[in-house]
Amino acid sequence: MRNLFFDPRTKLILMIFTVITATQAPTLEYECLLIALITFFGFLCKKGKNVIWGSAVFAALYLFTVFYLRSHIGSVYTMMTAWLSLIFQMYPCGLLAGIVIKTTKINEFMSAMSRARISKRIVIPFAIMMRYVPVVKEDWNLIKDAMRMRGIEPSFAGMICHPGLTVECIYVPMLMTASKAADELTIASVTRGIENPKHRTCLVELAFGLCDYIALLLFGTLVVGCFFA
Amino acid sequence: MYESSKKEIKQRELSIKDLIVTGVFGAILLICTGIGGGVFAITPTLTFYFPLGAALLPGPVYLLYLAKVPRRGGVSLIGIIVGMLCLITGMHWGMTLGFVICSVVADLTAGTRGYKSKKINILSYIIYSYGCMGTYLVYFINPSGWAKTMLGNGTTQGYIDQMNASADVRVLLVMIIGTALVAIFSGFVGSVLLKKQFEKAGITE
Repeated sequence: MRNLFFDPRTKLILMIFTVITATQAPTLEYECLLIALITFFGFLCKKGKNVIWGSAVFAALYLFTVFYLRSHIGSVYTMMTAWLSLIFQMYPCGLLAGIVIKTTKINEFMSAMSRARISKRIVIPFAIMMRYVPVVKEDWNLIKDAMRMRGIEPSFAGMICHPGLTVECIYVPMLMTASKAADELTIASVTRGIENPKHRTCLVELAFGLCDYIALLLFGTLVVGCFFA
Repeated sequence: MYESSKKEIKQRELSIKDLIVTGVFGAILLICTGIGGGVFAITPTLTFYFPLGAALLPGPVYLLYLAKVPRRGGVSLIGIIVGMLCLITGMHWGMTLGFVICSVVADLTAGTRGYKSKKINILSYIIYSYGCMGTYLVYFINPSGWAKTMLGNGTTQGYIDQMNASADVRVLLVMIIGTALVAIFSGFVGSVLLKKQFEKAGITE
């Protein structure tokens, strides 16, 4: 399946195209086209289940807007309009971002970014951030267990009864682990030569293939289309 | 070991370690903002109070980050990265711009006292919290342009009137003053935690 590997740079450009299309789309129907394209892209990246859910939610929001909101004018309409227009701008980008983050490996991302000549100062924190978000979720589960063992309820009710204690029990372990993890990651990455000023190399060969060009062409057409539609 | 860390403080540039700390703390800041503000962001009628919720949780994280990376550029870097994330996840461009501008200003503010003064650091946190207000400021400046994308060009005069009536200046004032108050509270909790726990444990430099 060598043919269906998308270069990280392609994914980044696709995201920029999606942002432009989502903010400039002339009608909601045009945005449905974008969602359809992203769904297709998700299938190619073998994330079919995620995109089917994603596009189903979008379809529900779309039908709600078309059949309900356009025929009812009132204060509900005003508030929902402000909110939904924000959601409709965000939704396609969020959907694509989810696929991209799930399918891009950190080493591929790093070497693609270094090929694109983006400063290490931006790339390193960004890569660490992507890697650390799931760790926080794991830590949170451990902290909850530890709090229950001490008889402190990690819930909203516990927050009301003992605000000081609950806050301390959440923040202190969370931040202690974070700063220890930062130290360990520093040692690990410095010993593996992250400070090397030379060009980064990667075992995975990164190159634009036919499918990259086709994807860029399809999304690019949508971008151009929204300025002429 | 001690000597080398002393040298590092004098050095003004961000080292690899600082970059990694930035990544880790940036992730936690982002999650705290998401948890605090998420409830407001998904409720249509409360969406204008998102900055208030977003300012509630990250205070202690922000202050510890300043204590760990007391160097120019640290907070700006977080702002730039969060702004980029907002941009690629399709948030309104106002938010990206707000984050970048506010984080640079917050960085300069905290830098005036060498990132050591607690009060100035809390002030810098307030400025940082104003970052996510960018979107809403754009909305208040031009409410009619906001919803144009969704309903095509069929906006009626009555619709614009209604929009202006529901989103008046009071909401904006509550947003600006409320965010500052919430940020002060969060920063205060943060500085207490910092003094009570992290300085004792030697986590700060």
